[in-house]
Amino acid sequence: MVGNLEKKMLFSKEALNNKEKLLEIEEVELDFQRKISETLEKFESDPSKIILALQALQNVLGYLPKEAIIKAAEKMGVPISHAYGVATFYHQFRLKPIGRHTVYFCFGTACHLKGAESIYNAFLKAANINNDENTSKDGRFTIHKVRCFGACSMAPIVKIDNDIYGKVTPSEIRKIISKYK
Amino acid sequence: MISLVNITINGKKYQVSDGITILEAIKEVGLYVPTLCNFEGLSNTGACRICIVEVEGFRNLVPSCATPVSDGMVIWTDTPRVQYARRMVLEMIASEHKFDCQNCPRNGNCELQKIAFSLNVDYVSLEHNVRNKGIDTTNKAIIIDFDRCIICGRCIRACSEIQTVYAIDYAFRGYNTLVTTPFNEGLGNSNCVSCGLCTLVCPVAAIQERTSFQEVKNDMDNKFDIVSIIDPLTQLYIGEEFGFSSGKAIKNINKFLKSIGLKKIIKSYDGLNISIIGEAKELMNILNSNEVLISAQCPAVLDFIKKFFPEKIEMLSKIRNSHIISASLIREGLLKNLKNIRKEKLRILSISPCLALKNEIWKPYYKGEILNYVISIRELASIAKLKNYQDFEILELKDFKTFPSILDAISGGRAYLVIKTLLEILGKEVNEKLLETLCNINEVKSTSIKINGSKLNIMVANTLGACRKILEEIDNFSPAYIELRACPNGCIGGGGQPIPSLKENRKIRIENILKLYENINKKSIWKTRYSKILYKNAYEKDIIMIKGEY
Amino acid sequence: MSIIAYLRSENEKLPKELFYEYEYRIMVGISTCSLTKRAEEIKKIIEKDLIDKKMDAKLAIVGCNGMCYSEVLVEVARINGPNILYTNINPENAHLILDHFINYISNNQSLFQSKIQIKELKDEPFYALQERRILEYVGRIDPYSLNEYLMIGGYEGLKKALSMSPEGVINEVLSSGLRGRGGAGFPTGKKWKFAYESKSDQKYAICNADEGDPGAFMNRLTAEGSPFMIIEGLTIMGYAIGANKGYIFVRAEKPLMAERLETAITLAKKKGFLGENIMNSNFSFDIEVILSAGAFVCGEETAMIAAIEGKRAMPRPRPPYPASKGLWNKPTCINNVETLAHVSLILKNGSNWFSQVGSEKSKGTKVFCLTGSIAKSGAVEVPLGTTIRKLIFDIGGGSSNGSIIKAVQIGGPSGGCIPSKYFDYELDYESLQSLGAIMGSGGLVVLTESNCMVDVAKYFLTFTSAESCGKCTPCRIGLTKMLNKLIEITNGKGRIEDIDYLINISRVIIDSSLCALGQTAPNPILTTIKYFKEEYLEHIIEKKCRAKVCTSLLKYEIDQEKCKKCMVCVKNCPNKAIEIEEGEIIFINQDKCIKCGTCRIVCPFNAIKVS
Repeated sequence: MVGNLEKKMLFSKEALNNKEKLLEIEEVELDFQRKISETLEKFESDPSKIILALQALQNVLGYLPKEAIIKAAEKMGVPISHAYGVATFYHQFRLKPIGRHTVYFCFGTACHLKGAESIYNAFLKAANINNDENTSKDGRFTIHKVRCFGACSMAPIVKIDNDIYGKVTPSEIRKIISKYK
Repeated sequence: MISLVNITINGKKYQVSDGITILEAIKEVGLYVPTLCNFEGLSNTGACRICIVEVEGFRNLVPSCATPVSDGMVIWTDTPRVQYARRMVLEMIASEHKFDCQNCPRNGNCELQKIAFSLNVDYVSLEHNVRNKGIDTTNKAIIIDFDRCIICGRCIRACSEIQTVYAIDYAFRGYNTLVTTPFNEGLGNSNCVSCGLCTLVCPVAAIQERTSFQEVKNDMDNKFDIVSIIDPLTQLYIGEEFGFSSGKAIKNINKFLKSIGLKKIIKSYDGLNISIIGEAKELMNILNSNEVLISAQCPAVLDFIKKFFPEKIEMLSKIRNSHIISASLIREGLLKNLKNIRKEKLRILSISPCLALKNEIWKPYYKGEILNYVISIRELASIAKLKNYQDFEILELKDFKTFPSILDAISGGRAYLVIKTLLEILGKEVNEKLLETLCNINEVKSTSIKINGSKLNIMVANTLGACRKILEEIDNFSPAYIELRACPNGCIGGGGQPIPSLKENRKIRIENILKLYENINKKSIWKTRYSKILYKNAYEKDIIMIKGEY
Repeated sequence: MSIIAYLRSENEKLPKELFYEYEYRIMVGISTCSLTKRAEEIKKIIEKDLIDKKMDAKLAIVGCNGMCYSEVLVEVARINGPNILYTNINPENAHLILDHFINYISNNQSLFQSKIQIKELKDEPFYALQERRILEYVGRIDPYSLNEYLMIGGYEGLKKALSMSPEGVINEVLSSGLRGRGGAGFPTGKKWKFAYESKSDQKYAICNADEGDPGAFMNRLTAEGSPFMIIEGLTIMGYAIGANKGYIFVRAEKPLMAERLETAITLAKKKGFLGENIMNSNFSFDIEVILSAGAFVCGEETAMIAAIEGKRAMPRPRPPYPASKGLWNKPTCINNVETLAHVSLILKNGSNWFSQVGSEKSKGTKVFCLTGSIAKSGAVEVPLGTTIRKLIFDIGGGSSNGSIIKAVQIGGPSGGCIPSKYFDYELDYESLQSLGAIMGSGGLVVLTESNCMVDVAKYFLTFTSAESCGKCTPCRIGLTKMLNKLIEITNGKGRIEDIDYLINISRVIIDSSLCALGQTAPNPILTTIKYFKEEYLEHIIEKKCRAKVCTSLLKYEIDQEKCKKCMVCVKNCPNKAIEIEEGEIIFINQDKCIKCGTCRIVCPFNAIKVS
């Protein structure tokens, strides 16, 4: 059981050093380092809280760069392979940098039946996002498919940052997008 | 007092111990249910769904490996419902597996093939798909072929539960699940210490050793002189791949090696003997002190200590790996029976059950070129099979002449030999009971002896999980000699051994080696004049110890 | 939509304490659903209005009472009556409310000129046909106030429980007949008994607030409206089984729910309803809210346990069950939000009261969510045993767009589709199982002729295969194989053998998956094949989608006779697929058409035809 082993034994310091050399500079700004340490300071070393630590880091950094996952694993006393497995399992965690605006498409049952798929496709085309990416080329938008906001009577729903749009149609997409820089 | 429970399997009543799993009960009464993700010594996850059986009172089929028996349970292992489900589960696995059996190192020795055969699955009704996730070749000893992986998780459990290295884990989820290293950076950039236990537990060829014979062949074609250092017990191990039962070895392996171009062959005894004498002398220096000497012969343990216990590096013996010493002996021309070698065109090959050695030879503290390639027992056997070599003959153990240093292959054997040598250097004799104490099949063995009035602790551990426990407490043991091995029961359970390498196989290997040792136990490394002279020569050429830091 | 004002009947008067000695009490419904309709703005408008009018009023935030189709809801009450519930409020008409209320109580003439309709709430079937027990005060009390919860009789249940022995509490729950409301319908008392009987130094009580079913929001609604009810229920559970630590597992997509629960926990602790020596007894219990990181499979007990332990949410084989080996290998009992809400009321009002309603084997009430093509979408609480017909037509108001309702999907991605011919079946566990569906969390999606059943099956399978944890073979691989097959069918590439292919794989996935996600994921496919085979055959043989939903099978064309060349469609096409030829004729370039249907929506002359 992971919980029984001392934290310092659970990751390779040598491999860590190699990783630190490999990290791209654009990903690890000094600012990130500071934010990561500050966030992790608030946690006690407890393997069961790795998910909370990752959530806190993502709240602060916007996403989870490699460095954040490694430092979180270190602090909480779990192997890096475990932390990576957790970070890639849950929907909430984003491992790539995000766009300036986050777009949530509701794909709940009601929204699906009211055409969520077509407004999603329209958005992809209008914002120039490839099918297998989730951030637009100009860095404006990061898109997410979400399961149900619980506002089913206003289906289909799109949320951009804190603005919620109800009863959206594909033709409105261009207009909506143009509001965001 | 073990309590018993009454169960019914396929209509017949049985009494079995309470608390065991349905699978264990099934095996106990002599029946058979195929399994895939289940493996001895690893926790039961119930993931693959091949071992499913029908149990009355349960709505769905249950995994027999992970379900405990209870009193009154009625189990059916082969109803049409079970057969259909099991077959379709296998088809599902097969439909996502890169079926390139012709090119696969496990062709003929593959658990997926075996089950498919036993279930008569000759055709897969589901659409076949290869995910094209590629191959990880970042580690020189072990590679991962993601398209062969059936996500059974055995390697993960071996690496975490037994070895406590945690180099690999599941990543992503659902259909996109991968068994991989953090950030997919590859084994060569992870915690992996190349022990190779994962390759021994993989049911297919998803995680397997990286073969080296092609390189050897290329060098042969380019007119290099290849000298092979062979583990003296190769003849014993390789017999398993050719169906030779316990108590037998293969005669005349040199003939086979010559047939594949390896003409100059020496056994690794010399390196072994020198390393044992060297450690005994090192140990002599720490008697009466509060120090601890950790044998550095296992390359995986070396890597493990550097990665997880760097503060203990100073406790490591400075004596080099025995194969490296043998290679240096060759390069320095210290071996009489090797003439006519062109130094500039010399390449040295090691045949050994050790996978970590494939990585170790590249370490910076072996300055310059010493050992060039390592071929495992498994790879050697597959070369023989590929070439359809037919001339293997049986060698009875009583006719198999060996030398005491073969004990090194067993976890605890080296400790025994080092202590024996130390005592002989001091003019004493070892108590033969020590052999039994140190060379049994346990994971951890410990004892202590008195030398000239002062106590010396001896701690032996195999599998990295056990080694970790020793390393954590190591300061409490001084003064001590510590022998640590990464593989189960030592090199006889090494990553390069034939598959299967289960407890019963390892037990037989240990028994065989002890039998061989019995035939020659009157011999002594220290008292053999040749070893002493060789040691002195090697010492003068400074090829016994590592240069610089680990 | 214009404001409708509902007059509450006399017996719905609020307890005097809730007025805090003010003359009026104004309640603004603020919850996740109403926030999308600018409820915050409305609250500010009313606040200002109260000050301007110098009204002696208590303004309270409340939850949503379930009438989501007519949000935002604002209720105005006077200490001795009347109580009027104003619906369809938006920031533009919010200023009309207080004037209207004042006019009403003074019987002012200008009332008759008001655009606001007045009806009696007992004449509104959506509300009146419910049996509101859990939801009784949801939408009328402040979720952030422990005092208000106490004013309506909150914590009476816990008080009674603490005066009984743990066995007594368990027996009470057992005899009530309460079955788990999360989906499986396992008798709650029995589950508690197993956990109680497991011997251990440490036990855990967990509330499953994951609510992963898309289209289900009854847990969110209840927790946002009356979080203390759930905390009380969890505390009672802890007492009964012998746990001193509780967790509420909330999904990250529902932050308001988590916030309200956390605030409630803090308040409860301050006032001695949580923590050491609760209500001066020997019982100590603490609760922690855990935010899930997003995985539907967390709704499965052992997966949730793994998530709380900080691991990937991969289920474990059972037995051993969580009641004997759960969180950290200790006995653990997990119950759904709604189940725990019922527990509070059962201990307060007695098991007989609970089992007065319901059917023979399914006692009590349940909250159902009505969504899809239904006229009135929202959450309603009815006794188990209510027929589907009553729920959809009498309460929900039937179809929303005039199309004929052909089926109702119940139980979310684990459930099944029930065709209209079975609408007289009762909504209880046994009855639904006999139809091949499951109750699930209680989300009902109404499907009409304009919905494609094959598409619905594909939708749910897309969901479950994406949510599969990947541990066991049948779910990991089988669901994706099925999905690929369904995609082929909806793309017009299906073959007749595909139906048997789907049925055969489904059988194996149900039989051999590790957890309920895999075991129930094929249900939508099996039920749609069973009851709507014609639609499948149409897709396969005729390459036709009768509901005109499967876009690959559709062709959008411009009817040249109707086209007036206004160019509206050209401007609005998101992919610029509508082209002009020779300056005159407008046509749709089929290669660029992504079949979004926009042109059809914007064309003022109905000149776009779909085939």
